[in-house]
Parts: sequence; structure tokens; C-alpha cells
Amino acid sequence: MRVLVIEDEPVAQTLLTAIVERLGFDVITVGTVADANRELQSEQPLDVAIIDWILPDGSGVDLVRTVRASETRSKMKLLMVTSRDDEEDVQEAVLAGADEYLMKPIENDTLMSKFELLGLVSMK
Amino acid sequence: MAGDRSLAEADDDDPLDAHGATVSGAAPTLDASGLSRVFEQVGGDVALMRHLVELFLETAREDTDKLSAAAAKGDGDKMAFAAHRLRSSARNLAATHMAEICGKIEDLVRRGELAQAVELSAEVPTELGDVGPRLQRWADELEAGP
Repeated sequence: MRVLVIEDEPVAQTLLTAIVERLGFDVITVGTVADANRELQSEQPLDVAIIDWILPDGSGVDLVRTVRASETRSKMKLLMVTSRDDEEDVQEAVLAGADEYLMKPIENDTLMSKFELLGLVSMK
Repeated sequence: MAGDRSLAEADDDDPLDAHGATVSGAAPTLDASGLSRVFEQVGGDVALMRHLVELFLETAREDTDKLSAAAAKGDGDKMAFAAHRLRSSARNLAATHMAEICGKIEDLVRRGELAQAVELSAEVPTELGDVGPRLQRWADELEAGP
């Protein structure tokens, strides 16, 4: 399974990439909406994107909307990541088309449960 | 496990000493159990932990400078962005008090209370000056082994 990690903050980016790799997945890591769009427009297989809410050149929620509107990636699994935890934010992410929502700091078990909820892995 | 220290064992020279925790109820400078969790998450990879600590110190210094510059200009958007990045990296490395301060700055800016956010921003360089050496010592001790 190939995971696209979209996170600009270097510590969070390095840690999240290490966690996902440790879980046995291939990871592509980018730090901007522009770079994410470049990866998403390529023909490479991508199973899931983990998207930070606030990025230097735009919003992760807008990126979710872009993916959902695209012809080739609209069915891709999308996980929003944020340190904001109010109900309105969760609703905004879900309404935009995110499949799941993760709070920072991300932990292995939480991430694996979300992947399982999305049908990407089986922990049985 | 390695890297797991009790806050109850903390002393003046201990990187995990709980800054202000017993006096004001503020979050600890470094949360021992949080750091242990991160170490566990990376599979006990000492070199990666060292890299994360160095990365934190480098980027937190840059983001603290950006926060101070934005605060001096009263630029709320730039303050919120810098505070958001600092909060994220601090939370990831269990620098709980710093994350708390930066979260408050973000919230104050979002609520339009810029003067208070600017005032609180002045605490960030001091907090970084406290947490940075503690993190470095923690990483040094981790590398040195039990």
C-alpha cells in the first residue's frame, strides 16, 4: 500500500513518515499543496493520503475537495490531520470529503485503527 | 524501557524536571511519558530520536523568530501560522508547556485578541530556552544508554 503524507512541519513530517514506514507501507512525503497536487496528478498508484489541515500554500480541506472532484483520484481514501479538535472542524473535514479525522500527535495504534476502519488493513 | 523516566525522580539537573507544575499547575516543560511514547513509536530508534530533537531545535528557533517578528508587526495571520507550527512540533516532542502557550496564541489570534496574543508571544523564546537544553540532555542520556 502506498501512502501520500502531506505535512509541512519538519518534526511532524519526519515522525509521521517514520510511523507509516514502520507499519510497513510505502510513503511519499510532501510539504505543500502544490507538491501534493503534483503527486496526485501523476499516474502512480496511491491508496491513501494523510493531509495536514494548515499548509504553507493553502488549506488541507481545500485539497480534500480538489481530490474528491478529480476524475482519477476521487475514490482515494483521505485522512485529515489536525491539532484543532472542535466539532465544527470535524464537520468541515467530513463535509469536504475526508474519510477519517486524526488528532495530533499521531500514534501508531490510532493510525492503524483508522486504516482498518477504511478497509486498508486488517488487524484480525 | 529506555528513555522512560519518572517525573517524580526529577531534580534541578534533570531534563524532565516539571517546570512550574507544582507551583502554577502549568503543563510540564517536558512530559516524560510523552517522550517515552514517541521513542516507542519510532521503534526505539535512538538515531531517529536524536534527529527529531535536532530538527525540533532548528525549526523551533526559526519559527520562534518568525513569531516574534510577526508579533512586532502585529501580523495576526503570520503569528497564527508560526504558533501553529511551533505547537505541532512541540506536541510531537512532548514539550507540553510550549505547545500549550502556542495553542493559546493561535486561539487568541483566531478570536481577534491580538494584543494578548502579542503579549503571550514574548514567553515563547524563554520557554524554548528552557525546553531546548532539556531535550538535548534527554537525547544525550538516551544515546549514552542505561
